[in-house]
Amino acid sequence: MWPDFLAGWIRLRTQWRGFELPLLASPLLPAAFIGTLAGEQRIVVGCLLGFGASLLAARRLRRGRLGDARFAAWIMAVGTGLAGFMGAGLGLFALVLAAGAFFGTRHLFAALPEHLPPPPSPPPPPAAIVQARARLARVMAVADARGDARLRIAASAVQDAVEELAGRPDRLAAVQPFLSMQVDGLERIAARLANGATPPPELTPLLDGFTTAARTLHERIRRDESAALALHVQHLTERLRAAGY
Amino acid sequence: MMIERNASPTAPHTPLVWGWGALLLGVCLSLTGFVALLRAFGALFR
Repeated sequence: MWPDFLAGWIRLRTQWRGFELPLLASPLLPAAFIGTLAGEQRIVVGCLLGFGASLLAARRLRRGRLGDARFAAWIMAVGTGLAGFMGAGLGLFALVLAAGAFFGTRHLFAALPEHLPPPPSPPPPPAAIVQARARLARVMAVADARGDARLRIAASAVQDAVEELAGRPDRLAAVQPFLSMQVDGLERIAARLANGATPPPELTPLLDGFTTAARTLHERIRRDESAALALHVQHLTERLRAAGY
Repeated sequence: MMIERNASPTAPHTPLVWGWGALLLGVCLSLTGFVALLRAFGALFR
């Protein structure tokens, strides 16, 4: 029963995490208001800084990422120290209060679950890749509508090469003219066919040529990567051996 | 570091850790707030 109660309590506290801080710091608000009426700028600034720090810490805690509770504790310590020093005029005793606020916050939010920050999203593919994908998708749509298997195979082979290049933008510049020629060619052929053109007999070997060229490009990229990996492995092996292992 | 190592959601003493934290933070923050409030009132009626 106790573990169930504790689990429920942790869920509730995780849901409302951080809201306690501005609540506990709320006496600083009337103090700032009365300070304004009294014309005491130092009290007003100290109290507002203290309350602002509690809001900032609460916001950080609400995010719930790993290390946020620790950071929030530091913010609370600084805020309480400033409020104590400037607002309450407690001098060096404000340091004791700041330390109390730090350890109090650390204990109050101990064991509440914190999650890891999300991994950084992969960079978007280069514009040339995005355009090539869209254009090839249109070519494939025409091929499907006409039931043209050869055009479909050629577009699919070029798309495979494009997808291979999407992961290696550094290789794109070297092969872009060749790739553009293929995508342009396929797009024009598809447009003519869609307009009702009768395919000439030379079209079939041309599409086969496109397919072969795209597959060769695909294989060449793979082969170069494999060669680079083999070189890297050899280099590391030699270094390991040179280090005496 | 010690807090993270010792406190776990399933540990029976975890509510005690929270209690101490709430007490410590409550006393420090509220004390600061009320002293500031008293000081502001003092300045107002001076």
